[in-house]
Amino acid sequence: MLKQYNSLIWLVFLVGFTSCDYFDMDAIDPIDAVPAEAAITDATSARAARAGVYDALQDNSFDRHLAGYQYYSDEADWTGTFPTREEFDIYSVQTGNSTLAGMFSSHYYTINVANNILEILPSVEDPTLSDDAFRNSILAEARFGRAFAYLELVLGWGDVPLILTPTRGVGEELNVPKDPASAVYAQIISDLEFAAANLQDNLTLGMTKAAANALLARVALYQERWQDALNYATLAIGEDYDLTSIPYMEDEIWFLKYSSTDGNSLAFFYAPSALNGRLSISPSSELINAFEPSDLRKDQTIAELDGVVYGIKYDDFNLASGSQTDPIRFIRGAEMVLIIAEASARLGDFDTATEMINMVRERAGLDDIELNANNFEDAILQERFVELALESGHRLWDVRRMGRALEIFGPGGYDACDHVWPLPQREIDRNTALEQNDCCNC
Amino acid sequence: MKSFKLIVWVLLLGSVSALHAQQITGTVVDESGMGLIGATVLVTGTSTGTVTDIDGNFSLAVPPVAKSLTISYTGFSGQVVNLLEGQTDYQIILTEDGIGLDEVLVIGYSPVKRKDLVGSVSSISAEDIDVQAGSTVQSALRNAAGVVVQQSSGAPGAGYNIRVRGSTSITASNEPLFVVDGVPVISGDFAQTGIGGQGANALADINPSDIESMEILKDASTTAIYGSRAANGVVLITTKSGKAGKTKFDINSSYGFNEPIKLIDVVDNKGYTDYIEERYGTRNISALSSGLDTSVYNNWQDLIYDRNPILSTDVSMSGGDAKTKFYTALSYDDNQGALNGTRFRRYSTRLNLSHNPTDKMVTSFNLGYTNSNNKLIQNDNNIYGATSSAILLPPTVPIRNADGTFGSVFGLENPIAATTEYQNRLITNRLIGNVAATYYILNELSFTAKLGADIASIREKVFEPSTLQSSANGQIAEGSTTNTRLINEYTMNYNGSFGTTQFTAVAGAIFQRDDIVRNYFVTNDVPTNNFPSADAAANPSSVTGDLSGDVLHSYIANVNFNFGSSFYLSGSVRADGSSRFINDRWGIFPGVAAGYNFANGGNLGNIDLLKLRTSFGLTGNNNIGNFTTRQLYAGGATYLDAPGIVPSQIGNPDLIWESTAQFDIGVDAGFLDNRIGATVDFYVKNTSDLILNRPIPTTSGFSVVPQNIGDMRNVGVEASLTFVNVQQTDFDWTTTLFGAVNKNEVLSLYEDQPQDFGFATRLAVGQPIGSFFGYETDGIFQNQAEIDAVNALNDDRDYQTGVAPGDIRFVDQNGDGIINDDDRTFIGNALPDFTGGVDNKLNYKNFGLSFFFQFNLGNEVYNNNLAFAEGLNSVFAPTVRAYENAWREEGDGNVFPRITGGSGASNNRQDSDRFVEDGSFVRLKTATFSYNLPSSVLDAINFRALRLYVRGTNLITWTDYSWFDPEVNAFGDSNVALGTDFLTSPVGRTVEFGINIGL
Repeated sequence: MLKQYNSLIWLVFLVGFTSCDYFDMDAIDPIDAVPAEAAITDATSARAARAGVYDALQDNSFDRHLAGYQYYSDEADWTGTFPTREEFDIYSVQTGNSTLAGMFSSHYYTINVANNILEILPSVEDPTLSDDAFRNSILAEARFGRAFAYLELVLGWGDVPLILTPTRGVGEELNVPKDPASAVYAQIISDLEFAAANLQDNLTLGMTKAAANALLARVALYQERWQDALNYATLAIGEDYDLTSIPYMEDEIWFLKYSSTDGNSLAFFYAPSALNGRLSISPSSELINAFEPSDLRKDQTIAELDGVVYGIKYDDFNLASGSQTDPIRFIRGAEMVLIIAEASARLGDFDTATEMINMVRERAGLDDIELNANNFEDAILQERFVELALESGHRLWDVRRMGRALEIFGPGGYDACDHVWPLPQREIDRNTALEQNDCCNC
Repeated sequence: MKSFKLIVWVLLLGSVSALHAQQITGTVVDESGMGLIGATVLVTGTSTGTVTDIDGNFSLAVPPVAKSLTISYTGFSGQVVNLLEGQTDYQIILTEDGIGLDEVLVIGYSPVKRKDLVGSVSSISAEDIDVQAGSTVQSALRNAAGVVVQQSSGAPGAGYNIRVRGSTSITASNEPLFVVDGVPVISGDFAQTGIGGQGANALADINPSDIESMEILKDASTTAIYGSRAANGVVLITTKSGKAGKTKFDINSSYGFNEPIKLIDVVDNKGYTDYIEERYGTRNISALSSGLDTSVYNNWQDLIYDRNPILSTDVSMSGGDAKTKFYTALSYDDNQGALNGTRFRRYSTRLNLSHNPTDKMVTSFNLGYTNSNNKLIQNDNNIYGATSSAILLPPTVPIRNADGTFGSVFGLENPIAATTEYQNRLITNRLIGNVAATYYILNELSFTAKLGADIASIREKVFEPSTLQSSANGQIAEGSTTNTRLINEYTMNYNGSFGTTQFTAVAGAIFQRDDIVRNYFVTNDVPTNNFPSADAAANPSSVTGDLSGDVLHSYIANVNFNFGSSFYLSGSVRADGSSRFINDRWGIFPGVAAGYNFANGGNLGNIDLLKLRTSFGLTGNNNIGNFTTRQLYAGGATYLDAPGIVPSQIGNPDLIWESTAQFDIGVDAGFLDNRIGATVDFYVKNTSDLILNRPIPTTSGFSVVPQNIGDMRNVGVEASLTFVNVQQTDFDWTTTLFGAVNKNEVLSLYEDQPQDFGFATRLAVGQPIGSFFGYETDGIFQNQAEIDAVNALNDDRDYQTGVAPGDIRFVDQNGDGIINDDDRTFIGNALPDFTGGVDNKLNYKNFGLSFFFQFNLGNEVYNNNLAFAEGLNSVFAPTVRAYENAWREEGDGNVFPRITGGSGASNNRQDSDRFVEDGSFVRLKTATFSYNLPSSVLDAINFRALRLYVRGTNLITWTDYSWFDPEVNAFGDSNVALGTDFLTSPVGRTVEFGINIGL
């Protein structure tokens, strides 16, 4: 009988083997993610959330920040294999274009990342956030990132939904209509003014007061607010800026960096196969011919190998695709100098305009020119073309804002209705409040 | 044994003088000569009798009037033995019951005899597993009525697609739940290294030779007790256990080979040069790419497919006494694929132990440990894969260039390099086991506590030396995954009877937790290929690591009534609560069944069994990501060296299980002393709340949210018939025929919008899953006049853009005179109309023969190989038939389009019925021929058994399919993109020679 109960101990042991806590329904949480409401709680997590804004800007970088615009202008040609990119090159972007849809959604992804910080951070109470200057600097980075995304959106599509709160639910609230471009610009300016006032350059991951002012200058230029453009550009680079003392391409004001563990594939797309690249994009003959004979910038912009011409502004050819480290230089000092030149000329100050454009030309090893009311627009457009070639979408934006797209891009197939890209069809399908714009293929 | 018999003789001699009640002795053995313990021996027509002892011996005093003895034993056919004048010792051999009606199955959490079953269950016995070459559980599973088993690739250790009564899900899994000795085990693919469409297979860690039986639960009354994971059926695996008696040793060893069934005819060097001349207008192929040389000829397939060895050895020891029983085994498998470079090796060991410390207590301990080493190569839709490059790489590329590097052009991998240089090993250590104790509170009432564990530890190591196209300076990837599953299960069982009514009941609680810890890194650029080490690599490119898991709480109850073996009623319910869901964590899964046996007690003459049964129940599918429902902010959004976090998932807290309601009605019948058995079932399975990703405006920062949206239905009929054709002392022959029809239909999707998968697969309302969508072809334009005629149909646009004579013509489905997206239509389906098999088992004296045919009829394969190898548009080597039968002039009758690039090629390579082929096949899936040494010889050498055999798999295949093999899927275990062939490594044919020794 005793033996019988002895054996029961074994059973009791089995029953009590594992603790109840182990099988608690809430025992397992991910370690690489936290609930949204627990994401930003103190200074450290605020810093991490702000790094997320930069990370979001890195997303889809080739099509979104570079190739989409460069194909869609006379600066580069499509030499790749993806037909959706070819549609940009021939100014015939269809509503169903998946590259277009990807560009559009990566901007809004960035915006949602920023909106989360802007909603959560102001109300977080934590001793580590007692310094308002620090908190405002983080908020300024978020607003800078959001403004940057909206600027690319408004330049590409015109009227777009203006979303300023983070996404929490998945119901009807996701159906948002377009807002007029003017409202989007107003928000961009408001965000950038906050950034210019509150960025603490020593605390950020690269966004600076100068960069915020530089973007304000660019926006003012696009809106033909010449005096504002002049003022902001001057604020960005300072009164006595000497471009000639800085080597070409080293005058960055705002650029996105990469490392081999946080890399891109830009060189892979720009390089020929002999350099392990895919040559999805090539400098156009218009660009190649735009360089004056002794222009030092040419050899830092394009190269030739076995008869193949390719862009070398992204030249980290030795590393594997996805691990390449070329930065994207969104704003350089030279752009500010040229904004001052243009704004001065528009305001009738041709002395300053001439001085400024010659500073750029001098660094490029070119002879001085004299700007006047008749030649300045062509000269500045030409100088911007070669100085800023294959960086961002300056060529498209400049030609468009000067109202010369039909003249310059027309031979390539650009029509008046190509002033905006179509809103992606999938957005029209999913968002009952969104109406298509008046693009050519809409 | 021999000495024992001597003692019996002595005893017999001593009792010769006894009169009247004559003492009869004897031994009851099975066909292999093993004594059967507990067999009933009765004097016919009386209740006088005894049972056999541990060695099958009995001794019985029989009255002088007795004429015969009746011997019965569960699972075996009864036998009547006439008593002969003067003979007092009898050796009685029982044969296993023809159709196994008395076999006891453990279904769910309680045992039931097959003839008392009111659910629908298919079984695979150890004997069936034994005739099957192949080293995985799934290779031992095979088509059964309503069960379709498909191997998606020929790589050893690769995955299978198993469908029980069709597909029920789109985003969650469609594989059945696998339960080993009561423990639901981890299945699926844990590899973090992408190598193409095929992955690894966690079930490859279970050794088929340890399996006693497998039951496939199909209807909802049997599966409902497995609740939220049972919508796709349940496969119960029972491992072998010891039997009381003399210790048995079994040694099994086989050796054989795996070989390609078929290769594809691709052009040779002359053919390639001719082709290039027609395509590009030059015979100077080296102008096309340096590295091409007309004088070189390599038949790449010949170079990478071989007859490669497979080897299997296992040793087991089993036995025990009335209190303690054990089974222990050790085995080694080494299986090389027909494709060089693929190899799966596995060491496995098992100890199953049971002990009854008192007569009120039963304890058991089952433990299996496996170490497997799977050598993989890149496959499928992948220019670095061996199969792909062996077809597409021109034959005019040298194996090695003059400088010693591997020959390669157009970025394609060199097939030799792909099979020899690429190093990818997946090493798994796996432990599956459980410890259990049952205490009998009353004879009828017991309590069981069971602890189960399944721990899979997977390590991956990949080295791509710089000799490969895929890696410039050497790449190393390493990773590990550990999945730990622990289960606590507590059940109360009642098993009693009131008069003729038998009653069983189970109630229990089960707690399960899974933890999955993973990490993985990729690093590039080693100094030289002599440094395949992460230490030596210069540039790490990605490092990841995470943890996930889930907890499942379950409460179960099950009752079964058997009213006088004529009317049956059973009901079960399981409540599952899962950590994967937030607002609605608990699901209730009931199942009920009833059956009536019209043939009870011989009232229907030759009809031994005629049972009508029906069942209804609800099961679920919770096989979604562990954290899918949550709104999350994730790390990993690093900017340079600054860690970053971003909102990563919108989540859906209202998500619930996919649920499947199944109705089943069936008949089981047995005739002529159970020499003929038949089972027919009709079922309807309705799955609702399918979890689909609903597309949302991306202005939200997200693109999809998972939501319970879709519905799907499967309706089917399945039948099986077993004939014991011959049952004589030295000859028996059993034939089983089975077949099934399943019709799948998608009933609703998100806003009923179709979704596209794979190359040409479309999921659409009103269509079955796995439907192919594309253009319907209408021959080839023979001349310009034909093109002009169709161009005239629409004033605005040409009929087909950029076509010339020799191009494929498509059917204008909507009649608008233009071929565009709107003219695509459904052009085939990957699901078979009719599946089944025919199994034959024959034993003649000491010879045994079994052969099993398996068939799938009416299924189509989307052969995307043809868009490339028969695209006739590019530098890729074409097949001989495409090149020779390319259209060249009007009316030449050739069925392949002209050789061209540009818009003509885009036209000809459109997704169309041109690439849809009939994938029906009948296959001699397995055949085994064996010889058992006669007992006279065995006795002399003191062996219990010695069997020699030769067995094969995939021996003969009858099919019209043009590519390697119709049993294929380039998308591995995808739920939706089915039956697509694209550069997939084909299944091979195996032949093995083996020996079983029993001591």
